[in-house]
Amino acid sequence: MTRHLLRLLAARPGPQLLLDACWTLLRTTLLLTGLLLQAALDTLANGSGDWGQIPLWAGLLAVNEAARLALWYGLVLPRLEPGYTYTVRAGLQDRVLDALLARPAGAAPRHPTGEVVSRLGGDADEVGVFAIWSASNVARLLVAGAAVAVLWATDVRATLALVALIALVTAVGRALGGPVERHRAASRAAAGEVGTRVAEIVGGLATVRAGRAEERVVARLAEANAVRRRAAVRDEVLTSLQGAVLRATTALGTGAVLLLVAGQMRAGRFSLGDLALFLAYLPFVTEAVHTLGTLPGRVRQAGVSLGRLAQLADGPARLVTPAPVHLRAEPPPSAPPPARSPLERLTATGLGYRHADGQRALRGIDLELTAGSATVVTGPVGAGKSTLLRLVAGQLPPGEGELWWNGQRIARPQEFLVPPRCGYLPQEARLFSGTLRENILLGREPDESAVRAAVRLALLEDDLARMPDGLETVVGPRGQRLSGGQVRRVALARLLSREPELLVLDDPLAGLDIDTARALWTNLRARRRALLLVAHEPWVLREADAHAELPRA
Amino acid sequence: MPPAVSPAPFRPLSLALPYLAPHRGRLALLGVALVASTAVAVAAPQLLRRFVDRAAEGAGTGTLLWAAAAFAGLALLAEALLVLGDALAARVAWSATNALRLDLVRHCLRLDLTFTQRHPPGALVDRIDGDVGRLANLFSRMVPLLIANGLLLLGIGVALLATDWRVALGYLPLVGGGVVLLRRLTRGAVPAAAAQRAASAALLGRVAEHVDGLPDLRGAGANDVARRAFWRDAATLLAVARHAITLGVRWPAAAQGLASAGLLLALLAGAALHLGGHLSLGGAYVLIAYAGMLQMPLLHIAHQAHDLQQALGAWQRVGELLAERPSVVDGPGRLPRPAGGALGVALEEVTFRYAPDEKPALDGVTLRLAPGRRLALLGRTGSGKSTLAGLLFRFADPTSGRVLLDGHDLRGLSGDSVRRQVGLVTQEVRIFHATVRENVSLFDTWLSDRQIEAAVREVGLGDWLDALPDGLSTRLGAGGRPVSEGEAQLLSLARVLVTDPALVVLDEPTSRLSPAGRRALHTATERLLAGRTAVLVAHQLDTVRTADEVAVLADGRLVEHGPRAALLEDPDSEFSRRLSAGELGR
Repeated sequence: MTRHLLRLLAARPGPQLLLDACWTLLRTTLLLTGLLLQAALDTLANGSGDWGQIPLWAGLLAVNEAARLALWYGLVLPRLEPGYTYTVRAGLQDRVLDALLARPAGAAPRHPTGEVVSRLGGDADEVGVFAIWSASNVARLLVAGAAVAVLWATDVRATLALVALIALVTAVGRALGGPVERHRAASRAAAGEVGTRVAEIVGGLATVRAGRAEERVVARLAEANAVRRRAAVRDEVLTSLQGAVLRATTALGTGAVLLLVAGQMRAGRFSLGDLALFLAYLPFVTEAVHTLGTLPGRVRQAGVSLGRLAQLADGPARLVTPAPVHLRAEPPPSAPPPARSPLERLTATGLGYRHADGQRALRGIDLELTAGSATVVTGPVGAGKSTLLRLVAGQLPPGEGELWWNGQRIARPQEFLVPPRCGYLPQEARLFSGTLRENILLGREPDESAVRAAVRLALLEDDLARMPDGLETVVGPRGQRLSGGQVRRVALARLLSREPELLVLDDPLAGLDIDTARALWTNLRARRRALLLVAHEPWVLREADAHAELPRA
Repeated sequence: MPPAVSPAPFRPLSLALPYLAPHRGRLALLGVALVASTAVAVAAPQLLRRFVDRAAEGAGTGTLLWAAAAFAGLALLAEALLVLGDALAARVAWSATNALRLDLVRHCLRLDLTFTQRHPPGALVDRIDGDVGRLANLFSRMVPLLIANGLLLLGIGVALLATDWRVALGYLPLVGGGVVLLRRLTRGAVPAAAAQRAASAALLGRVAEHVDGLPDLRGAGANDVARRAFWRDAATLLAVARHAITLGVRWPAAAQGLASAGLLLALLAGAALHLGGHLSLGGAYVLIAYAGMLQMPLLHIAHQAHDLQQALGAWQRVGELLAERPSVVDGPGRLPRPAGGALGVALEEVTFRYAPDEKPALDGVTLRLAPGRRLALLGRTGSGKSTLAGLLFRFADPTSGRVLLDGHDLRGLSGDSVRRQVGLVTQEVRIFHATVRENVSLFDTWLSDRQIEAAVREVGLGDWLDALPDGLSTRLGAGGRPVSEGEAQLLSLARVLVTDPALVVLDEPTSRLSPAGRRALHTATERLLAGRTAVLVAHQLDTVRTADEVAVLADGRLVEHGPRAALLEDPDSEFSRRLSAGELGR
């Protein structure tokens, strides 16, 4: 995945290079600070007893510091970094969403939604943060290289010793990493046990009190508490020790420099300014060595995240191909719906389907739906009623058999069978967060008369009259604030407002009282367009034009 | 009566003191470690000064080497002291918050069930586990860091004063200005960061909705809606994030600016003082070293200030929970063991309200049950059956009227002595992640394995027990052996049986058991109730058939009470009518 990670970063070279340049510039000002201090201190130490060039160095120092502050806090942190990281993030999320939306809607999802959301959140974030982390740290390594070069020019021996020492101490710090991880895991497990026991007691307060077990369950919690305390203290001490080792690198480095240059300094070959320069650059070298240590881990982590996203997006190719982002302007308008072509006859021949696990769901179905006719599908549970409807409505990739629209073969049912040609109502219809009107329009241009007509046909007028906000009523996430029957009828109104030539409805009358069901049936028939539905009510079977009974699977 | 809700004044320190007091010694040591590490950290640059001055004077290499080694040694010592401080702080924080957690659990076990029923268990667990955990972090990390960084700023000031009073005079407004800016510049950053998290959650929430509703989107030809909504949410998120970051970097920028200003001032002041003959070359250099130490504490203090706000919120919520008072007060009396092993029950004009302004859950109920008799309580959901059962247990006291067991008013008795004689089988069974032994004895180690095993066999779980890999020591629940609904019901009967109560209150499960499971439960229930007084909150016809007496509750009122046989014969009785209406499950 490292290769794909690099391709992803290379896909947007502009922001990446700009950020690289800014970080390099920014870190170069840190180098300049050291050089300016060196110059000023050497002037001070030369024994002439006057200010010399010190005011000039101080003035340059002020400009240098101000430039860094402006660049860092005025441009890089609040503008460039969020712009870049959110572009990478949103770009990845968009590509994954694109893949998910292109998938057959009727097929079982390959990943649970919770997993999809967790990857779209955590993993896209990880890669996005890696993009800016890499820019900052490439600059860090470059500038540390420059710092070492400057030090090298000042004193080769001290520089070599310093770098060796820093590498050694950093290695010690990293060796602590394993135990730190282990103890952190132990601490988390102990915390989990405490949480479980607390939840058990709080969930069973009546049981505990009835059994007069109050003190006993408290004692049991105390045991878990003690285990957790020991684990947590160990974890914190180790973490603290690791931090101390990293901080001590600078202290030890300073001591080492002092020891190494003591003789030189006494002999006048190493100035106060040189010392200041060494001590000022020491942290840069430490940080760079630390970065080198963590680099493989960061790359691996980002690669794993990219891999998890690639699984959602059917492979990495789609992810690393640049696609337009719309973070600064409105996204482009939706493509207009296809032109209406009146349906005379939809023919299905030899329809069959196997699920992803190879199990056969349906075999050899022939159907003919004509304009104005109503066809009812019946059959026992598991006979494949829903699968048949999904196939006819283009919700599944055609497994076997073919679909013909007015005698012309439909090559791509998924793209062809959309409103205003075909509308499909799933068995478990869902609404989306927003108002009822937004749910009915669902992206279409507002058309008041079409909405009103659909509301009337779907028998929603009485329901709306009882809602103070009418069509502006906000439904909760997934339509939670409405009853199941209301959700289904709103979803039906959404389809009816699109006036499709063919309506494919999976069990639209279920759970409705007989009067409502009859009224809805009348309204659906009155449209005089083709209708394919699953229903169980005997009176529907009697009044329908055709009846397809599926045998037991 | 539920306690009157009065917002308790929030006094964080008086809440914390009892928990910190036992750790006086460690806290004193922690203070010493923090002060010492600061002193050492601040003293180390003085060795640099010595080094530079001695080198300039042309002193022997030995002196220089000594100063260099001492510098490294002091710096390491400062780090070691900090680690020691962290260890002490962690020890104190986790011990103190462990004690607080236990107190909170004890407290919840004392509170009226009416209080705990009003709060979802998740919320209480978050108080006891989540908030207390946040407090542990506060004490173990944030407070020590805050103190250490504050001390460091103070120590630098002292060191500057020792170097030259004029420099210290310049340092004061620098740090003072920082403190003023700190409050001003960090305001608004926390809500902006929360808005950023909310925008991110909204984006992901909508994506989840659209992914779940893919058939609906496709069926309506509206796939584009998902992508358009995504890009709008993403653009909003970027704008909100930029705003949050812009506010969030204001303080770090100020801290960096202050440190830069400090560096510049240190250079100029050092040069001026050195050229004026007031300060050695090393002295001038050490000013720059101190300026370099300024930035980290300034940044840290701001960082901790954010977390501190959250921890204070947790602290306050814990304080509120501890301020809740139970309404049931233990009486001095103890309920004696009845001579025949069965208790008589009487309710006299009992009225109970969950809250003063609510309509009564029980309304003037008077009822008598002789020792050894079995009463079935009937009534629809909300008619007051479970409330009545809870009163027999003294989970609450009646708003008016009296509940008597063997003629003793429960108000005059200790709750513990009542519950020693009264066994409760709750409707919902809790199985603990513990062994069979612990689940039956509820962790009572005084009960012998023989007693526990006898109870398990008595309720019909003998074969089940024999099949367990570790017998009574087999762990149950998640991670151990799974327990079926029916087994759980039987275990809950064994739990009560092993305590040998004189009155059994049984809130019958409504869950649907298999016919075999129902038969087993029925047999076990008969064994538990034999020779004891029993009050059954009944949902099943089978259960009612075994009762001697039937009482029917409606809207908190007792509408009928009499011998079962007599009520059954009278076709006009409420009991008969409910039977024929099929209101009871089979």
